[in-house]
Amino acid sequence: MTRVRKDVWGLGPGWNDTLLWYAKAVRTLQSRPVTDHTSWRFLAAIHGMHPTVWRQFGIISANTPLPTPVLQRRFWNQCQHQSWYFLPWHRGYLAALEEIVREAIITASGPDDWALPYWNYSDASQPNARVIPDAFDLPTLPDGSDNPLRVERRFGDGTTPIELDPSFVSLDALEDDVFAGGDSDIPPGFGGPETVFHHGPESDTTNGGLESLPHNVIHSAIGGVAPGGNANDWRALGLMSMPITAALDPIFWLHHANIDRLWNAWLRDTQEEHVNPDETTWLDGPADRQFVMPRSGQGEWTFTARDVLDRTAPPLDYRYDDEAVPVPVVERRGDRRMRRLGAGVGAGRTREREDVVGSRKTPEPIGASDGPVRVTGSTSASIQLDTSSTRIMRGNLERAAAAASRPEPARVFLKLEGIRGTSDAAIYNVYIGLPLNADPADHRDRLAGTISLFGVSAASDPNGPTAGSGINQVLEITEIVDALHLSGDDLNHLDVRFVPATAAAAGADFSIGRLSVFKLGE
Amino acid sequence: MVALRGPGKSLLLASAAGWIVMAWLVTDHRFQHSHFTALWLAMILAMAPPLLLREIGRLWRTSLRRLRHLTIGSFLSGYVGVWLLAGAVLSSLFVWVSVDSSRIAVVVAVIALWQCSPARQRCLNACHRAPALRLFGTTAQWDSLRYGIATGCYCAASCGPVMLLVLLATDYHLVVMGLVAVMITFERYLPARRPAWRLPMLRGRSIDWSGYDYGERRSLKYAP
Repeated sequence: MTRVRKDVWGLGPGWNDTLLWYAKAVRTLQSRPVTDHTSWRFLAAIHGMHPTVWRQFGIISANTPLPTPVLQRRFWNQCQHQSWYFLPWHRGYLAALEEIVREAIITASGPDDWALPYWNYSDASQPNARVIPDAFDLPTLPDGSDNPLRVERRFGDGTTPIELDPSFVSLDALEDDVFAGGDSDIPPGFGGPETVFHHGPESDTTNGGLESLPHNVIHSAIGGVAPGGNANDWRALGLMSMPITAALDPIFWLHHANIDRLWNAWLRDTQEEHVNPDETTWLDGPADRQFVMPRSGQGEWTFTARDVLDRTAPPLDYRYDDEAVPVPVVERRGDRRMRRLGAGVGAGRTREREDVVGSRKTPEPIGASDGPVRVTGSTSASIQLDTSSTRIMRGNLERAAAAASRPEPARVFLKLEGIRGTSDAAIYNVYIGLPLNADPADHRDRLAGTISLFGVSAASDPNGPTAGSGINQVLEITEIVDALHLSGDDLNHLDVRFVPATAAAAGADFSIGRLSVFKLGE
Repeated sequence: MVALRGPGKSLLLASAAGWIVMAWLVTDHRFQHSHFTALWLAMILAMAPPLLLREIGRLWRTSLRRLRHLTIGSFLSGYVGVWLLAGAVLSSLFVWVSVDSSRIAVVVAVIALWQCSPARQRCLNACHRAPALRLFGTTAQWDSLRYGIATGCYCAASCGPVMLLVLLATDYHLVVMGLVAVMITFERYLPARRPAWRLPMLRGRSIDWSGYDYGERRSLKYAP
């Protein structure tokens, strides 16, 4: 029986059957000891766990019996981030939780077709879409008992109910051409860069498009920082702000169900010919450590990316009530670009497909900041560009505008290399080429992207798995650079401005090893 | 596979050439102290390139195209310079140790301890760290040189002592060198881990908690 995952706001406000049964099951799972494979805490630890943090947050005590080290090594701390396994691993993770929750619901005489709802925060047709579903804020269930979906460590922006900023729910990632990231993670790809098992074992880590926005940003936006707390102190962060505590918050699962739905939506965009990787290293990977999940009994399920591609077949067996492409393509990225440059409409189509399907171009750095940049509150930085590279680029922009048959000029990317800090809740808007003293809100066309520092503290530990190299972010800035060129800018420098997107982010203090600009193509 | 893109294949070819030269030097001339410099250079050529796939690949991808070879040259100058100094130290140590079997026993015991030490793990972790390198002019070359020196120092600290064993194995020099090369290359690409006393390349019995050092400090400041 294929079960249907439904839009949580479509189920109506307040308590509905789906959320009420979810709440009762969460309570059952929370009552189980952490040594039980089907307990809430064991399942959350599969995503990530650190005993010091869990004790500080009161999730376990110093005397709480834990599973054996062998079991912890096998199941815990598996979450895949900054990796092309991000989407398949989380799909398997959701399926495991869904099965265990459903089993608890059936045991309590609930419906046997229960499926995890999803939170479609990007739904422009739903006025409340960006507000956290109210059942997650209500103090009690209809029977007057405590509401297990309500979490004290869910700080958001300090107001209730939590409402997400429109820029946090952007679906720009659905425009990404390819699943896997390119060389130097340029472009980062819809699904993330090619890696081995990636709970953070490599030194260079870059978020894929969908993972970066909306996924990471929503984690930080919901978790947030305790009112009056220090944004750089992990003790003040909400559960959703850190990978090692995120899955303890019941809203995590609805957020990830939506991310999973968006993967499917991206694949359904047949006009764009989006496909999953066909490399066996992805399909049958990772080779260095198995993905493994507990089953509702005492069994376990090991899986690869290939095993979770067919969602409507066992053991997954689900579909979404809305699988349409959320943002129908009105104009392709390449066409939009060529039209703005002044070339004929449709000229970008063939060129872009050649870039994607044909021989992959090698990205090349053409500019960088003169050393690391420290970001605290609104911060400006300058990137020097290589004059000979930009001269060629400007020439190609002019020639492309004049003759529709010419290849598409180079695409341009901003790479924030080695972001290090301790504020996983920080969210920043990154602007390029803002006029001096300009209000960023008046120049949305100069917004390169919105970034979150979700996962940064673990990646900044000098003795942790990334050896303190931090995380990377890649933002495409082609259209901004084109606009600067058309406005007469000589492109010898790019001014970058980091603007806190939340009040909590204003107190964050982090560094970026290098701001780089890469070109892809000529 | 990612590491083999760009200059990766050239590095592996250089390594193969190093092993051929090494084999020729050892088989035709036998190991003698007077040939030490030639042997040491051949050994660096044989063993270092596979260890530097990540670093050279990073320099290749993050440098201006016209400066790539110069930047990699700056890095290698620093790296090889450190290993030449390490060779001079090890050569002297070899002369002092090899005259007495009790000295050999003590040195072997000290090296075994060092291989298991948290200090050595810190050096291995440092080899994973991605530096921020400037892009233009002499500052780019200076950063690259410093990167080469730093990598060479951490590399020499973590793997230099075991190279003394290679020197001491005079009759089976090439075989021991091959074994050590496999071991240190494998170890180089293991993930960074928290420093602790443990047998090298084994996981140990306790959980190796990863992540920011949550227990010790409230927050970190990162000076630009």
